[in-house]
Amino acid sequence: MSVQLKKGVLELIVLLIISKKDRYGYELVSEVSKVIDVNEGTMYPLLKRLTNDKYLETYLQESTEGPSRKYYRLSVLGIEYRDTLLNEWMEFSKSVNNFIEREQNDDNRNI
Amino acid sequence: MTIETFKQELNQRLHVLNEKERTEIISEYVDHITMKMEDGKSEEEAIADFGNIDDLCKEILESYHVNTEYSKAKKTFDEYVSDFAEWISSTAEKVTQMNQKDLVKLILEFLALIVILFILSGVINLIGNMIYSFFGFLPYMFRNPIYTIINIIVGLFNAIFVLYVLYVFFSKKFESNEGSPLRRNSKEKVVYVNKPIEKSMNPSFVEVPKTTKDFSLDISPVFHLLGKIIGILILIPMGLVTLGLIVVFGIIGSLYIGHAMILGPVIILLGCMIIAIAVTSSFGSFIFRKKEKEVKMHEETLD
Repeated sequence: MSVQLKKGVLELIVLLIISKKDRYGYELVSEVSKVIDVNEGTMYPLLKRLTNDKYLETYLQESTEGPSRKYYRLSVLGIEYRDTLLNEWMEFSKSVNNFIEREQNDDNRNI
Repeated sequence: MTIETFKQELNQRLHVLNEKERTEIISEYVDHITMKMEDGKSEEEAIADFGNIDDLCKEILESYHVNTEYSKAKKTFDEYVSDFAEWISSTAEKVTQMNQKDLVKLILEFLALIVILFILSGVINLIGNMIYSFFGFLPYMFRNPIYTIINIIVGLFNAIFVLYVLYVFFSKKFESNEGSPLRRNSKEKVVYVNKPIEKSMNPSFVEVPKTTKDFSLDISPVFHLLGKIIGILILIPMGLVTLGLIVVFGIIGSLYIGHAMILGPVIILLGCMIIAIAVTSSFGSFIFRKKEKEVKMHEETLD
C-alpha cells in the first residue's frame, strides 16, 4: 500500500479506534498495526497533530506496571471530524468500487 | 542506537520546540521503546522500528506546522548574529528586572571573578615565562622568535580561558533557571508551539539532562567572601567621596547666594551626591545584610 494512500486512511482508523475506548500510545500503535502496516515513527506525530488541532485530548493515568501512561480520548471536535472523515471515506470507496466494477463488467462484455 | 543517544538526537533536532513540548515528546517515545522491550524486542530493534530519525523529526515538526526546511538547514551566519542579539537583549531584560540587591550581588561576584581571572592569568603568564627560560641556552637571535611565539600562545590561551569562564559565569547566572533564552524567544517564531500543556502531565516527564554547564566545584562561598572584601574596598572610598561631595556642595551652596552662574555645577554635584549615596547604601546593605539577619535571629531566639 502506498504511503500517501495510507496516510489518508490512518487518521480515520486512529479516530475510530480511540472512539471505542481511550488508548495510550503503544496500545494504539499495536491496534493500528493489526489493520494496516504502519511505521511507528509516523504514529506519534499524527497523534500530536490531532491533539494540536484539538481533535484529541490527552490525560495521564497511573498504570499497575511502570510509569503512568498518556491516554488519548476523542474531543467533541474529534467526534465531528471522525464522522466527516467516515462519510467521506464511505462515499469515496463506494464510487471507486462502483467505477472498478463497471470497468470490469465492460471488460467482460468486450471479451 | 541506545535510548540515551536516541533521546539526545531528538532533543537536538527538535530544538525549535520549547522544552516542555520536547520533554513530553521524548518521554512518550521512551515509554514506547520500553514497552516494546518488555514485549521482548531488543533496544536496537525497538528504536530501529521508528525508521530514519531525520524523517521522524521532520514529521514531528510538521505536526507543529513548523517549516522543516528552516530547522533542517544549518544555521547561517545571520542567524547566529540574530541569536546573539536576542541573547544580549534577553540578558539585558533580565538584568533590568533584577532587584537592587541581586544586581549588587551580581556586580560584586563579577568583580570577584575578574580578580580570580587576573590571578589565574598571572599564573599562566608565569608558566609561559618558565617555558621561555628553558630556551635560555639559545643565542638571542633564536630566542626572540620563540619568545614571540610563546607570548602569542599564552595570550591566546588567556583570552580563550577568560572568555570561556565569563561565558560559563553568565550562562549559569541567566540560563540555569529558565532554560536558554534563545529557546524562549524561538517560540515566537513557531506557530502552535506555545500551546499550553496540561499541568497534570508534568509528573511523568523524563528528566532530560540540562545542557547548561555548571561549575564542577562549588566555589560560590569564595565568590561571596571575595565579593564582600571588594565591596568593603569600594565602600570606604565611596563613603569618603560622598562625604567630600557633601562638603563641596555645602561650600558651593553657601557661595551660590551671591553668584547665579554656579547653578550648573550645583546640579551636577547634587546628581553625583545622589548616585554616590545610592551606591554606598546599596553596597553597604549588601555587605551588612547577613549580619543584620543574624543579629535579628539572635534577638528572636533570646525572646
